[in-house]
Amino acid sequence: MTKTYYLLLLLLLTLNGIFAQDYEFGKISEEELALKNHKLDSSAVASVLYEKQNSTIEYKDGLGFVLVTYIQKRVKIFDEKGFGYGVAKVYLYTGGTDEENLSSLRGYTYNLEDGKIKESKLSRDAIFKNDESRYWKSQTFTFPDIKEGSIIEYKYTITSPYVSNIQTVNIQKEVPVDFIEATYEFPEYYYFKPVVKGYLDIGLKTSSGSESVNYMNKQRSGGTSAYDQVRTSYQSGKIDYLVNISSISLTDIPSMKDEPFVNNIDNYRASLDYELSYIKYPNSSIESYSTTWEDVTKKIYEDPDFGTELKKTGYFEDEIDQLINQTSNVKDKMALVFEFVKNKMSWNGVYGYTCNDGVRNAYKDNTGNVAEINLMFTAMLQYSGIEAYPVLVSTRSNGIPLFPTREGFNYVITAAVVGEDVILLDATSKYSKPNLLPTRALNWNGRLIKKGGESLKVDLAPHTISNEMVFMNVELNDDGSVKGKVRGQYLDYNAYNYRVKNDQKSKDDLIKSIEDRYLGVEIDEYEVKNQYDVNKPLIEQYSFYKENAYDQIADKIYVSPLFFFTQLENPFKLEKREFPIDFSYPHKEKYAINIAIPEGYKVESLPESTKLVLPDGIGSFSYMAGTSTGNLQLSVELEISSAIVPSLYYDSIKQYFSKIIEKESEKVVLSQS
Amino acid sequence: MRLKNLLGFICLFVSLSASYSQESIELQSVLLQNESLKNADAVVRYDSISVNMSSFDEMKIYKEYTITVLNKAGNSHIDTYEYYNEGRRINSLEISIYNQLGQEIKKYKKRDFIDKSAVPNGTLYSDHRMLYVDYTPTTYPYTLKFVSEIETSNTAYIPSWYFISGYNLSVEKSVYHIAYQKDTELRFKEDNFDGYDIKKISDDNIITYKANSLPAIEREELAPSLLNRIPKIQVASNHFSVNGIEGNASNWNELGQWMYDKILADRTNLSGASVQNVKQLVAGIEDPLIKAQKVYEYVQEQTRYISVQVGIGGIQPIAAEEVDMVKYGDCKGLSNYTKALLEKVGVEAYYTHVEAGSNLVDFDKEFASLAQGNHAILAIPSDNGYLWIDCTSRIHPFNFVGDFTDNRNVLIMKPEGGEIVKTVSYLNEHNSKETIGAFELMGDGGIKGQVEIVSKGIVYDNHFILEGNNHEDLLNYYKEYWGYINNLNLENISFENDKDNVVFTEKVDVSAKKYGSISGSRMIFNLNSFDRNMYIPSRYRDRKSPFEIERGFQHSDTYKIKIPEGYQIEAMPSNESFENEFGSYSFELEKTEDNNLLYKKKFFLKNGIYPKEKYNQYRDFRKNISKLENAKIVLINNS
Repeated sequence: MTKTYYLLLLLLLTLNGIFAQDYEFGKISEEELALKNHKLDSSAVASVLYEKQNSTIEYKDGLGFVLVTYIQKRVKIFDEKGFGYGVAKVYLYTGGTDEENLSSLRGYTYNLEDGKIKESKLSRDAIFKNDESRYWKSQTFTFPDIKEGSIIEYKYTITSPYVSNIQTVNIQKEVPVDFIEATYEFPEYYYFKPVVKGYLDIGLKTSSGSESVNYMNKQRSGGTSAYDQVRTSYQSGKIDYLVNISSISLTDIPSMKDEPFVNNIDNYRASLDYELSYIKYPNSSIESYSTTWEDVTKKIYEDPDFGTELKKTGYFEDEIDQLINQTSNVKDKMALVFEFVKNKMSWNGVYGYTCNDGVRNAYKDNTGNVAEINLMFTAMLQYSGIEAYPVLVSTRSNGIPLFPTREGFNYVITAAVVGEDVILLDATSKYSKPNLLPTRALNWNGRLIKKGGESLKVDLAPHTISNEMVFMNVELNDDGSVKGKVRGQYLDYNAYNYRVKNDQKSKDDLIKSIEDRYLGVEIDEYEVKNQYDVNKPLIEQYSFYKENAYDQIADKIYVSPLFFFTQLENPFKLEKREFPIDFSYPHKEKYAINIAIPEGYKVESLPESTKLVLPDGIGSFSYMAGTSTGNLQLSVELEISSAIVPSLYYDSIKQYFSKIIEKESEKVVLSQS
Repeated sequence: MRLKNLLGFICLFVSLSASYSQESIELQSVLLQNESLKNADAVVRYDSISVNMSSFDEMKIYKEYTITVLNKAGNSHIDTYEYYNEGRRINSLEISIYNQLGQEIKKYKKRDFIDKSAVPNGTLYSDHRMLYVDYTPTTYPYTLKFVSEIETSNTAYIPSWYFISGYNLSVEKSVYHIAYQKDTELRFKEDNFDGYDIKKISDDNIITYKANSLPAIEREELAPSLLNRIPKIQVASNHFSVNGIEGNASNWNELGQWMYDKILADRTNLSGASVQNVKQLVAGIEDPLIKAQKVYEYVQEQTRYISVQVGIGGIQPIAAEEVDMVKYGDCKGLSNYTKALLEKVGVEAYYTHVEAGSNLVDFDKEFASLAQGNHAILAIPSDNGYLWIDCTSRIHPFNFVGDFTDNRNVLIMKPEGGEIVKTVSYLNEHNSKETIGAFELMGDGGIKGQVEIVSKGIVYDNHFILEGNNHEDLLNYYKEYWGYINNLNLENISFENDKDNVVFTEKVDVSAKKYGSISGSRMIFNLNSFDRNMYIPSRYRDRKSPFEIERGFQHSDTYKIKIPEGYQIEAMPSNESFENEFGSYSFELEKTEDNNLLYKKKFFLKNGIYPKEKYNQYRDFRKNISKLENAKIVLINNS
């Protein structure tokens, strides 16, 4: 076997030249051990000094092509908080008939003791094997002798019969990475597509080489009758093939830091993955896996747990027939079927765009995963004569599917076409509505799949502004307490969130949750309307009492006129921000507050009315205070008009909240008249 | 013979009754009694356990319960799993689900259960596994019936029995049943039976407890731990076995002795080099406690905690030699290793079992059983009692265990047997926080100045961990800690950790824009800038449980405030102080020369358990404090 990859060789040479570091296994230097802090990030608790992954598809006698992945890692631990890096865990897939196999594991911990390098071996006893689930096994390595300053180093090889199971290389990690490299060698028969994520330019390089397989086939003939002797003949041969090589090599990758209002941090992590697009063996036709969205959706459609399940109708026909006979209006029909499925089916919490037990069983048990419920629902709509399609979705927890991959999706919803409108529906939540999907599904774009697998992009982000209106009437008592009434009206996602959070809660619990939110407020006469009627706005009303709600100092009264609705803390505390700010949906809060001025008092000063507008129409804030016939009136409006705000507006958003807090904490001063 | 028949009888009884309509009433939920529904998310219709101890190392546990779940919250009351491991076998396991009318809608047989590793959060490895079912309710109410039979050789852990197993759960009928051999000596401990209808029936070597109609208990803030309030039975056999190791013990002394002789024996050997090493470490030191401190700090520096749950019955530590080699271990391994090192330098230390956690749970002085405890620490004898060390912490000072294991009864294991001892307590004035600030208020409402926080006791435990945080985490921490200050800016953060005296000092420069709010020519601002205690306990119209202040504390503040040029004090709050059985509060404001202010506050909270009738008084106390913590002053600009 000959291998030629000048490029890589060259690359390694130059890198070694630059860093004068030895990355060969076991060649730990005293300098590395003596390091006290990371050179670029003094707060790093650990760092990856070196990481290498080689993924090669090789021919093995008796096994055919297998995926061989070699991993080597060298990790420096700076701080006690980095001791977690003294434990490594590897998952092995055991899903089908064959298993992935880990071999040639070696590991050491290195410490500097009295100026000498001390090495401690990772022993057999420190490797814990575990069955994680039906499909996965794991091995956990606990390195010995970990201290502040230790370096651990290990390497192993995984041999996998699942050639498409290429391990993702996470280039960016929770700690800085000093040097990382990966190479991939795939025979020409396997066409893989690189999937690159993150904001980093990873500089993927490609080249090619050649390989050959010496094979030997045993052929048997004869044995057809008692007199026909069995003959065995051997046939040997050699096949040459091209190898596509690609590689990355990067240095000084900064760590990832989590921030509030981030959809899913993995969306922004620099990583490299390979997805199998197609296989083409000599003299056979292309077996396609994925290349374009069309290919992906086609493949998914052909999956029996998707396409076949979608075609089944027999199990529901009787019940749906009765239902749709009630009306001939398409929209009404859709609504009837939607309510029927929502009421009948309970989601079991399992994601996926393919069925587990199948739609028929799910229908019988009244419970199923996402695919079972929404494919069943799509089928029912189609059966009712409504144009309907499944829409593949990647949930927020699954990240954004930037590239056409099957793994990029993990969820499915339904689209109904009524006239010109495309209406998105998800029957897994009792509180969803047409065009109001559960927040988990609000993630970028979905793919609508037509019969046969043709597909279209569908924007999932909500564009209607979810409104919240709060009316409050307040009276000031002499003793510093206040009492009053509140009526809140919540629409769209504001109502959805209330319904999800307060599902089946008793009135006492509902009261307690408000009392817990607003410190020291006592709630009475609580009433909620339309909690379970999703087609109407949710209305909440109550009376309240709060002690120490305003200050009476000397002969003056000082009031924060929003009382317990005053926003006190800025949700954005970090100095700077790398990632877009995800508010999930556009929303608007409006407060109309009426305060009765106590007898014998007059308004001495009012906060100035203000209007604040964020750049490019992202949002606004307005504050208006005035008086009329013995009453103080306040109108405050906050609006964020966009579900996702790019990080470039971070300073504006942070300032915006800071100004809101300042404004809302301003006082109305009343003096005796 | 007799016993065998008995078990047969029990099973027969259960399976027979299942075919009668009487049982099916338990499976229906249309006709639930109003009594059971009050405050309940779920109703236990029938809960039973039947233990058959056929010898000192053989025990069968038959469990059966039927529960009606009324709403979503009630789902947390169903357990749909069973553990197993090498010494514990699941003989049978079955779950059935019934609708409101008592018709079966789903059935899970043993083969339908999912098998997975039972590794709790934070544990790296455990040899326990579980079979479980993940049932998605489709309608409410529904009724679930669970039946299992377990066989185990581990008789040191005879199941104890809680007649109520959670909040907002009512129980119609609960039965504990145990059958044992003639020569087996069992001990029973009944707790909190008062006010409940619980009957005990003793027959020859059969004991049954039956309870009826136990109302649901509501979850209430500050209530003492439910486990200390609900009726329960503990059972232990004097003759027992743990993974093939036989034991005899009828009290803590004997149980501790057994632990010492059988489980801990020969676990403290160390290599010659390591012995030399530790001797060298303490060379020249005479005082055993100073030696102990050296060794403890050495262990803290050299080892790390890794949770690996293996070894005999989960109670035997990994041998000291092994820990010495790999430099890691779980609580048992690290405690035993430290004990071994101490032993080599002539310092005595006792291996100790404790129920750890920030909520105080005691070992029951009167009832010895291995089932108590979840953590191991060390006790080092000194002239006045014991010093305590937790070897799983790499940062705690010597002789300071914090709120994880403080103030509770624990079992120490001495060569001469076990002993129940109370750990060190950190109470009231010992948990102190002193906040000292000097700052200047600007004409535009901004503030600028320095703050110092000195913590001791449990407050130390909560603050000293800051030392390990990086700068960015610290900024976030203070922005949360003083979350009520908008636009907070922090600089020059420094710490001093006096481990010998267990005192932690934080110093930080702070500034914030618009701290004071300006209305016309007036400025109004909060006097207490840096230690606002606004907590008010939740309101209950009808409080049902007593309440507990677990540890108590003392917070004192002193702030020097410079007010801006051109401003005069227009109005300021008057001094106040009050005291009652819960503690005391005082607040003083003094105008010093140059128109400056001196603010002083002292808030003392006492630990204790108080009857429910006093809850509103306590709430008022905290309301008053909350009001004064928020006291404001008004300045006027006359220029």
